[in-house]
Formats: sequence, C-alpha cells, structure tokens
Amino acid sequence: MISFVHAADLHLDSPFAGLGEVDAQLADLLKSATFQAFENVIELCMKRSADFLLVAGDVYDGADRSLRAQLAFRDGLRKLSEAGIRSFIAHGNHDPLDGWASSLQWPEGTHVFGGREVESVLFERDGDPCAIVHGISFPRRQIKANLARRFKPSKSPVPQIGLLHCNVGGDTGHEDWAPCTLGDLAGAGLDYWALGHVHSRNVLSADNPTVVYPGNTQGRHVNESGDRGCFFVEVSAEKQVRTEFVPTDAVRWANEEISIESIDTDEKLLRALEESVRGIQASAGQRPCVCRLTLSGRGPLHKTLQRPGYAEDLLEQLREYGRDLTPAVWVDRIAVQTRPSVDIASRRQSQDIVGDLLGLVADYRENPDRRSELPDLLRTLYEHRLCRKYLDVPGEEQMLSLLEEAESLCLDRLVEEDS
Amino acid sequence: MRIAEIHIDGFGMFHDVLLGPIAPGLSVIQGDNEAGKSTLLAFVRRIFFGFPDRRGRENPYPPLRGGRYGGRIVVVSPGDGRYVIERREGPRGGPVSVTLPDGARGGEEVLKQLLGFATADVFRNVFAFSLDELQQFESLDDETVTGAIYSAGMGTGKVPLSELVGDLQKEKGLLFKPGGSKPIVNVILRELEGLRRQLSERSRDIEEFDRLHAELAGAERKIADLQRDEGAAKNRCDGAKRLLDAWEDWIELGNSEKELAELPQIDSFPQDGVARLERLEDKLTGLAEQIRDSESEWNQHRKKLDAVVVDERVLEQSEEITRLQRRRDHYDSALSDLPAVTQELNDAGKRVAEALRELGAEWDVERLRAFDTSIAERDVIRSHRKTMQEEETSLREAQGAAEHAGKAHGEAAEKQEVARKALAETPEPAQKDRAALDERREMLRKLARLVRRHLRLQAEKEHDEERTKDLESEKEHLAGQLRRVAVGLPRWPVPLAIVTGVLVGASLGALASWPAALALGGLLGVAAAGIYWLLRSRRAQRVSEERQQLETYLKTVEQRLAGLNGREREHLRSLAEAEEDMAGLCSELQVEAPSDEEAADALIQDGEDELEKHRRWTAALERVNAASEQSDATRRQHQEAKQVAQKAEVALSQAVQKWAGWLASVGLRGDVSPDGALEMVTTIGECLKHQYDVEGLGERIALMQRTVDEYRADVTRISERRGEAAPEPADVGQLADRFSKDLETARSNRSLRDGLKERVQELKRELEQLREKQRDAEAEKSGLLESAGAAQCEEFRNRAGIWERRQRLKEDANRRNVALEKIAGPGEHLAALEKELSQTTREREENRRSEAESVLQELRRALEAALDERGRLREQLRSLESEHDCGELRLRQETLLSRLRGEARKWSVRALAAALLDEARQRYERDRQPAVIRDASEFFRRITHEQYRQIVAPAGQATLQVLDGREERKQMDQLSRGAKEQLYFAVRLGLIREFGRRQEPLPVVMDDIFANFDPRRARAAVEAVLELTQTHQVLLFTCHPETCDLMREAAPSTAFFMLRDGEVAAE
Repeated sequence: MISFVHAADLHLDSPFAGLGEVDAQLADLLKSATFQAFENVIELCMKRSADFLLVAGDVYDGADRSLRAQLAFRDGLRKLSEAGIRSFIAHGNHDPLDGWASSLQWPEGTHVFGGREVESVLFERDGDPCAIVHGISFPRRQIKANLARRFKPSKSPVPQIGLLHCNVGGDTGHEDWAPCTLGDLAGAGLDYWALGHVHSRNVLSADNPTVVYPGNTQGRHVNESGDRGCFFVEVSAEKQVRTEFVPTDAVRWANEEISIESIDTDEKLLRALEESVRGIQASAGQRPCVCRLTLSGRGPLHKTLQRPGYAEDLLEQLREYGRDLTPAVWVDRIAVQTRPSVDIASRRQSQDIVGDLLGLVADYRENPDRRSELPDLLRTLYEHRLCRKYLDVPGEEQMLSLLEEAESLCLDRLVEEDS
Repeated sequence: MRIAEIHIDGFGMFHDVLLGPIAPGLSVIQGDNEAGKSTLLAFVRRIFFGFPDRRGRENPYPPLRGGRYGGRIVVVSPGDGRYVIERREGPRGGPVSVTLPDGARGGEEVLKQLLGFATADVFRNVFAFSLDELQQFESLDDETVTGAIYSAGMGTGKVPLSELVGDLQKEKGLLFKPGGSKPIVNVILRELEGLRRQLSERSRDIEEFDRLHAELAGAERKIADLQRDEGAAKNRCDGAKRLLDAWEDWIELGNSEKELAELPQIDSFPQDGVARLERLEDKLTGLAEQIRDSESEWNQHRKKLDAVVVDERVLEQSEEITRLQRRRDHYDSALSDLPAVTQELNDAGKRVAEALRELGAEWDVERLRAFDTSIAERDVIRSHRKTMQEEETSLREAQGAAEHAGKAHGEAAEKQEVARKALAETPEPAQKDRAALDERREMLRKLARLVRRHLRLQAEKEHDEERTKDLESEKEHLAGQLRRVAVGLPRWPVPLAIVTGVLVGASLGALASWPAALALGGLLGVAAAGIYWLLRSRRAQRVSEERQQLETYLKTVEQRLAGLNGREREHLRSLAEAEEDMAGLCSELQVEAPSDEEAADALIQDGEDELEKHRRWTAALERVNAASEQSDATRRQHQEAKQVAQKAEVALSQAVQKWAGWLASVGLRGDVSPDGALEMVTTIGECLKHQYDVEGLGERIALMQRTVDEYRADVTRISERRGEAAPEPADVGQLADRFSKDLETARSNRSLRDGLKERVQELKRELEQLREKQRDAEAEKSGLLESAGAAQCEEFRNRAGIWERRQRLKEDANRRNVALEKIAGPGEHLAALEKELSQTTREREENRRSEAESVLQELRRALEAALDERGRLREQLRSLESEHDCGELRLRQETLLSRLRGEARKWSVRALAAALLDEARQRYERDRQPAVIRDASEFFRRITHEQYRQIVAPAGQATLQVLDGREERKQMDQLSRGAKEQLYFAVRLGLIREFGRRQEPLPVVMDDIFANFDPRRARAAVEAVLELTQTHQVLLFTCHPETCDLMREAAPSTAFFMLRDGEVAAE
C-alpha cells in the first residue's frame, strides 16, 4: 500500500487577475495565497504521512519563474525531504525546462523529470520496491506532440503512476498543449494518471486506470470560483485506488447573480445583497472570500441603479459589511447588468426616434456587414498607443454585449420606463 | 393648464393689482404704450421661472409704487383644480410656494410638473413671447428651441436629444481622451506603464541571484585557505615571542644571584631603623631650641613686671569719681538751660495778666479757677441758644401765614360777588326738569322722520302710477303688433301665376309655335309660383320668429305690471300707518301736524332752543355755588393762622426768661447773649492754661539750680581730700574731667601688673616639662643604636644600607623565577626553556618574531576582506530571497488592468450609444418631417393666404426655408420683415401645438405681435390664434385698438381688460 498527494498547477506567485481594487490587508492575503495553498499541500503530505508528492506541472506562473516562488517551492520540498517524503515534479507549459531556473539545489529525494523522454523512477520503502513513477516535463512552452503515447509500463508488479501535464480530449477552456485522448491514457497500461493543466478538478476515469485532474490549488480569478485543492491517493498492493479531494485554497472566489425583478426598494436590494454575501461566506469553510455580485433582470430599481455613483455607494456599503464578517468577504465588484423595463419589441414599432434607434440596433445586431462598422467607432481608444499594449479589441461576442449595453443606456436616457 | 388670476403685490409700476378672473380661451389686455404690458408679461414669466439675479442685465422691475416684490398667479389644471403659485424675492430666483387644490404646499418640483417641465427659455420663446422675440432670429436659434423643433415628436422625454448626445460625449471625455492626462483611462495607462518598467527591472534580479551564488562559493573557499595560513604563521610568531618574553627575566635573575653572593652577611636589623634614628635626632634638636626660647621669654617678663607703678589713692576714690562722671551731663545742661527757662516764665506771666484784662476788672486767678468751663456747661449754653432761635423762626412763619390767608380771603369774596351778578343776568327757563326736555326733543325728531317717510311714500306712489300707465300703453302696442304679425302672404297668387304663365304662353303661341309657347309659358308660370311659394314660406318662418320674440317681451311687460300693482298696495298701507303715528305724536306734543319737511325741522329747532336755555342757566347757578364755598374756606384758614402766631410769641418770651436765669446762676452779667457766653468760656479756658504754664516753669528753675549747686559741692570735696585747693565755679567741670582721667590710668596699670605676674609663673612650668622630654629622647636613641650592633650613628646608617640591598636582590630573584615558570611551566619545562635561552640570542629571536608578525598581519587583512565579501554576498542573497515587491507590483498591475478593462467598457458603451443616437437623429430628420414643421407650414400657409405653401427644415442645418406658391425654395434672408415674423409666428404656433400634444397645454401670452402684419394677414393670424384657443388659453397684449376691433369682430365672446397706468379694469 502506498499513499501520495497529487497536486498540479500551483502557479506560485501568480497575481490575482481581474480585481478592481483591494484594500491593503486583502492585498497581503492575496499575494501570499498561492504560497499558502502550496504550504497546505505540504502540510497534508506530512499530516497523512504520504509516501511522496506528485506535482503535474505549472509550478510557476511564467517561464521567467519568480525567485520567491522557486525559493518557496524549494523550502516546501525541503520540509518533505526532512520528513522522509519524496517529491516528483513534471513541468508544464507555464514552467517549461527551457525557462530560466535558478542555481537552487533541490533537496534530497526530489526528482524533476527531464524533457527529452519519459523517465521511470522506482520508489522503494526499506529497500522494497513499492511503485514506479513515470513522467516527462515540457522541454519548452508549446508542445503539440502527444506525450501520453510515449509512456510505457515497466515489467514490475508494483503500481505504476504516470505524471503528465497535458490536455485530454481538447478541453477548449485551456490551451491545447500535449494533446491526447482518454483512450491514449487508458492504453498506456498504467494504474494512475496524475495529470495537470486543466484548472477545474475532474476525475476522468475512476479506475483502470484512474485518471485525475486535481485542478489548481488556489483559484486566481472570479472564473475560478469554488473550492480548489489536491488529491490524497492510496493505492493498495492489489492496485486498488482510493482518491480523496482535499481543499487547499487560502482565499475563495465566488460569483453570484441576483435578479432585481422582485426587488422594489433600495433597502430590499441591500438586504438581498447582504444575504448573498453571507451565503458566500457560509459556503467558504472558514476562509476569506473574494466575490463578484451581478445584478440582472428587469425591475423597478433599474433606473436607480443607473444613477451616477449609486452602484459605487452600494459597493462601498457591502464592502463595509463584508469586512466586518469573520472571516471577511471582499466584494470586488457589483456588475450592473439590469435592463430597463421597456417593452422593446413594441417600442421598435413606434414612429419616433426611439423606434428608429431600436431598429438601428437590431440592424447592427443582425447584419454582419453593419456590425463590422462598429470597431471603427471605438478606434480612438483601442488604437491608442498605450491602450494597444493592454487592451484587446473587443471580439464579436464582446461587441454584441457592448451594443446591448449601449442600447440599454440610450433607453435609460431617452424614455420613461413602462409602469 | 390655464391662468385664472394674476395678483401683483409689487412689481414695476404695479402695486396690489388683481387681473382676473381670466376666462379660458382668449382674453385681450389692451393698454397704451408704457401702460405696463411688458411688465405684466415679465411678471408672468418670472412667477413661473424665477426672478433674475439683480446683478444681471435684465430689468428687475423693482416695485416702484411699493408693495412686497412678487405676487401670485392662480392657475387651473383640468381635472385637478386651482393651484396658487406665489413667488417672492430671494436667492436663486426667489422662493416659490405652490398651494395645491387640497391645501397642501409644494415648491419648485410641483411647479415644474405644472409647467410640464418646460424650461424658462422654452416658455419665453414659445409660450410667452413679444414682438422682440419674433424679430430676433437668434431667439429661435436657442439650442433648446431648435432642439425642440427637431426633437419635438421624436418620442423622447423631456431632455432634448442634443443634450443627451452632449452628456454622453462629456462622460466619454471624463473616461478617456487621446491626449489627455486627467481622464480615468489615461491615468490608469500612465500607472501601468510605470509598473511595467518596475517589473522589467525586477526580472534582472534572478540572474543576479545566480551570479551571487557563484561568488559566494569562491569567497567561502578563499576564507578557508587564509584561515589555514594564519594558523601556521601564528605558531611561528608565538615561539619567538615566548623566548623574547623570558629573555629579560632570565638575564636579571643571573645578575641578582651574583650580587647577593658578594654582599656581607647581616642576619637582623631593626625595622625602619634609619627612619627611627632620624626621627629621634630631629626630636632632640627641637627640644633644645624650645628650652632656649622659654628661658629668654621668662627673663623678659620679669623685667616688665618690675617696671609697672599703680596709684592706689585714686583707686580708693573711684566710686565718687564715677558718680561725678555720670552726673556731668545733667550739670552741663542745667547750667546752659537756666537763662532760657527764666525768660519763658516771664512771658507766661504777661499772657495771664493780659487775659484777665480781657475778661474784666472783676476777674482774678481765683475766680478763673472757680468757673466751670466743662463741655457739659457749654452744651447748656448751646441748648439755650437753639431754643431761642427756633422760637424766633416759628413766630416769623406764623405771622407770614396769617398775612397770606387774609389776602386769599379777600380775593374769594370778590369772585363770589361777580358770580352772583352773572346769575342775575342769565334768563331763567320755564321748564327746569331736564329729563322732560330730552323726551320732548326725541318725540319731535320722531315726528319729523315720520313726516319725511310720508312724503317719500307719496312720491314713490306717484312714480309707480306713471310707470303703470306707460307699461299698459306698451302692452296695448305689443298686442297690436302681434295681431299685425299674424297676417301672412296669401296662397292665391300661386295658381294665378301658373294660369298667367299659360296665358302668356298662349299669347306668345300666336307669334311662334303653339306647343312650345304653351310649354314655356307653363314653365314660367310654375317657376313664378315656385318663387312666390319660397318667399312665402321664408316670410312665414321670419314672422314666426318675430312673433315668438314679441310674445316673450309681452309676457315680460305683463309680469312687470303685476309687480307694480303689488307695490302700490304696499305703499297705500305704509302711508296710512305713517299718518296714524303722526296724529298720535302731535296730540301728545300739543302741536299742529306739520305740513311739510320745513315745518317738521322748525319743530325740532324749538326743542333744541329750550334745551340750550336750560343748559346755560344751570351752568351760571353752579358757578355761584362754587364761589360761595371758596369764600367760606379762605375765611376759616385766616383765623386759624392768626391763632398760631400768638402762640409762637408766648413761647419765645419763655425761652428768653430761662436764659436770663442761667446767666444769674453762674454770676455773669444779664446782658450777655448765648454766643457771648460761649466766647467767654473759651477765653477763661485759655487764661487758666497760661496760669498753669507759669507755675510749671517756676518749679523747673528751682530744680536746675539745685543740680548745679550739688555738683560743685562734690567736686570741691574730692579736691580737698586729695589735698588740692578748692576750685573756682568756672573750673569745676575741667577738674571733674581730670579726676576721671586719673582713675582710668590707675585702673589700666593695675590690670597690666596682674597679667605679667601670671605669665611669669606659666613660663616657669613649661621650661621644666621640656627638660624632662629631652632626657627621655636621649635614652631611646642609645637603645636603637645598640639593637643594630652599632656604636655611632654613622655606623648604624651603613649597616642599614647593606641590609636593604640584600632584601631587594632576594625579592627580584624570586619574582623572575615565577615569571619564567609562567612562560615555560614548572620543573623540567623551566630547565628546557633556560637551555633554549642559553642557545640563542635576543636579536635572532626578535627577527624571527617580527617576520612572523608581518606575515600574520597580512593574512588577517586578507581574511577580514574575504569575510566582508562573504557577508555582503550573503546579505544580497538574503535580500533577493526575501523580495516581495514583485508580487505586490503584479497584483497592482492586474488590479489596474481590470479597472482599465472596466473603464474601457464604459467608454465603449458611451461611444456606441452616442453614435447610435446620432445616427438615429439623422435618420429621423431625414425620413420624417417633424410634426412641428408640418403644423407650422399649415399655419404659415393660411396666414399668408397661400402665398407660401410649406416650411422646410433641412436635415442637419439649424435653419428654415420656405416654398412659395410656385414651389420655389426661399431662404430666410429673401423674406420681408413681415413675412419673416409671420414665419416665426407660425413656427411658434406649431411648437405650441406639438408641446401640447406631449404634455399639459400651457397658457400662451403674446405681446403685440401683429404690429407688422397687413390687415389681411393680421385677420388670418387672429383666426389662427382663435383656433389655438380651442386647446390653449391665450392672453393677447396689444396697444392697437384695431387689433381689439379685429378680435371683437372675430370672437364677440372675447374678454377685454384695460390696462392704464399700472391699473387693470375689466371692460
């Protein structure tokens, strides 16, 4: 029987993306969140007396690895080494081998897989072979080859584990590096595939072989909401695999949508938002949260929400509320995506400028030729010398969303809402 | 909404003016130039939209005729009721208060709602305009109004489209400007650039980390080598140093041992022997000197003692001489004061004699002493004086009062006489009862009223009779008319006309063809009959209407007649009642019934005369009674005053008698006044004081003389006892001084002799003690020499030197042995060291040491540098390892990127919205002719009698063009002034209509706008205005009577108001 911890996509020292603004206390917490999550992984190894730790790529966020990240990673592995726990590391597209690596010495018992071919390392306990770990690192960032097919089982009765950073089945949410199929993995003759790359945890196959994406250890933006962590795995001598997910995230992300349709007063709106914040906190398991609240739907409060400064005041009040909770909840943003309660279909028929305007928007929306004129209207901003560096020109989908918002804005300013 | 009343409290020439009630529809306010039309227009605008800032250029219309600035306008909103809008002077246009129909109060918000959110500019340019606005092309260029022309009917809310687009552009500008520095996006971009630079600098740190690591390893190696070399060099140096350290001790030890062996052996010597010997020798020398000095002093004192002589005789008289010394001052002052005191005594005696002379011959010293001059006695005198003065004053006052009362009584008696004469001259009334007179006057007045009522009733009765006669004749006339009207046109002419037509046809048939002629004739006949029938039926209709009118009028006349008859009966009854009342009053008053108003007035006058007579007589009687009372009172007062004066006289004479008694009791003359007596008492007191001075001075002179005599006697006695001659009185003082001096000398010599005796004894004792000490010291010295085995002092000292040298050499040898042992170690080690020392030289070892030291120093410097280098490298590595900045910078970068995306999105939405609105506006202007222009075209066409057919508003241009009858387009500047004004008037009517479609119609105020219209177009314009009154209330201001006539003609129901010099009147 062996036990190990399977983690991936640590992205140590990567910044939190998409935060509007943060207060100083939260900034400290966020800066150290990926490190804290890694520490939680190390602690798990020690607490459960795991035999080894598997890290399936993307230890660092960029090829130019942050020194702090490397030091922290080395220190973590050193702790394991001191406790007699081995570590196996395979690098991925975010930290390929050709990226700069400092002159740090890896502690004893650490094995970093090379990038030329799949290596197989025997894990022994008191001189008895217990498992074989096969693995390969990304030699460079962009690997289009199917690395999974290079894995071959050893002729040994002990459990065999594959460690790989790859995209199984062309997950569209992630870059398609080292693509492979579940069939490739199943055909390799291994008992457990410790994968990395996809940030949402996913057990692709429960047994024969067990194929697991543990997801990243810490969510880093609003789209990585919910619990994040690693897997504690036990493999019996009979190669029975038991997996257990253990959350390691230090800060949790949440994204909530609240409809204003049944809300008719400012007070009720605030109460609803506070309730939402409380719910987020309750589900976060005693860790601080960062959340984004989206107000949607048509309702009497739409007009109020459009008032300059109103949403900002609301945000301030909620932040105050969230700050006072223990652990705190930081409300990053209130996205107002409500719409005026105007019957657009009938207004489009009216013989006035509002009718003309709505017809115009419909024309832009439905006619690709006309839609192609829209980027010209935004050229001043997106082709500005500095903006070009930081902003992408809105794509089709974004343009439609902008158009919808512009339509809503025009209606807000032009017409009284239907009662 | 319409205006129901305008109430101006104070505004321009208006003060407390009410215009109203103003009917819905059209009202014309006519007034000459400067009657206040423009002021009224301004008042309406300002109550609705606020007073202008007084600092501005607009006329503030201050209240020239008083009243509180401002006022109120009552408006009526259909379905809602009356609102009272009141505005007063104040900041920001002045506070407005709107009283709602239910009595609640509101402010600007309610007012804005009432005005359909129209702005002040829209109201001025569209709803309340004068010829000025019509003539100013610019007034239509006002953005709001031009915007309104285009946006009216656009379906937008209250905000003009142009303003919306402007707002969006403004918001865009706040978010981002290509060359801006303040907009949010620009600020974020700037910060992002800074962060990017900082992060790129940080990425170099990692290379630095590796380089430092390599350097650190090199430094560690170098340090290890240096430390090894340092150890070896140090060993070399320490060996040489050990020998050199032992060198001196080893040499000195050898020297000490050699010297000890050469010195003679001495086993013991007294401790501190030399010092003790020297101390004893010093002591003996000192004692010898002291003995010599004491002997010399003893001899000197003995000689002095022998030389002192003491006068014992003087010492025996010392007590007497001392007494003389004490009294010497008394003697001297008595001797010197005696002449002056004697003179003082003489002067005092003269003053006593003079005072006695002043008091009178009968006064001597004895009598003075017997007279009582105490304060109590003086108070008695003052009491007498006060009593007498008070009694005199009382007497004077009482006499004055009596004289005054006598005069007053005389005057009162005279007045009484005058009043009596006046009463006798006043006629006495027949009736003296005032109540009866008042009652009669009231009855007379009532009689006169009855007479006047009787006369009025009679006149009314006669007038009614005349009107009855007139109405009856009118009734008859109407009845006649009615009868006449009943007669209509006969029917017979119809067949007659047909027959005649046929006959005419037959007669014409003879000339032409028969059938045609007959048919033509018949046709003519039928036509004539038809015409007649038509005339007849029209007339019948007219007659019927006329008849109906006459009947209605007749009925009215009959009703009036019936009314008059009723009133006549009423008159007759009232007349009878009045006559009855008159007869009753006349019999009671016993007068003839007055025939007319004059007779009645004469009766009233009689009553008034009687009353006046009674009033005068009563007044004269009251004056006589008052004068009598006054005379009696004054007489009583005169008598009382005389009694008081007599009493005062008696009291005064009693006081004088008492004073005379007192004078006699003290033995003074009877004619002395209290003041004189007081003065005498004072003089007596002073005289007595002088007498006491004389007596005191006499006693003092006797005392002084005695002092002088006694002193001289004492001096003479002492002198005789010393065997000297008795002194002259003048020398007594000098002699006494000499005695004192002798006594002092004798005393001084005696104390000198006693002191010397004592000192001689003391010196003798000291000398004996010193000799004793000298003997003891000699014995001690001999003992000391003996203990050291020496006979003489010199020998003693030599032996002491040898002893001390030996001791020092032994100590030195011991110390050096210890030192060598310390370096080498005990026993064999020490022997080895000594052997080693014996085999080398000092120079050789010094050279060895110095060489090793310089090598060591070199090595240590190198090691220190290497250690520093290692520390620096470690520190740099530590600092790199603990680098947290990057995380913070990246977090900030991400945060800013997120904000940038958010703001960029806002900008994009606004850019798209502005573009959409602009495009929609263009499409609207292009595709749909605004309703305003359509309505305006229609009005313009009618006003110009189709001279112009259409108004055109070209898309994207803020101007207007017109199409004339030939469909030719004309620019504004091609139109005459009148046509231009008519065009703008039409546009305004179009706007009013358009605004009215979208919101509550507002009242329209036009100030003399037809001035430049020709009569034909003016009439058409008036018709347009009348059409407007179907939906809007219109107030038309004009100074032209012809405009009024036009209105009267076109709409007889129009309400007219006259405005004249700040006053308003309804016509």
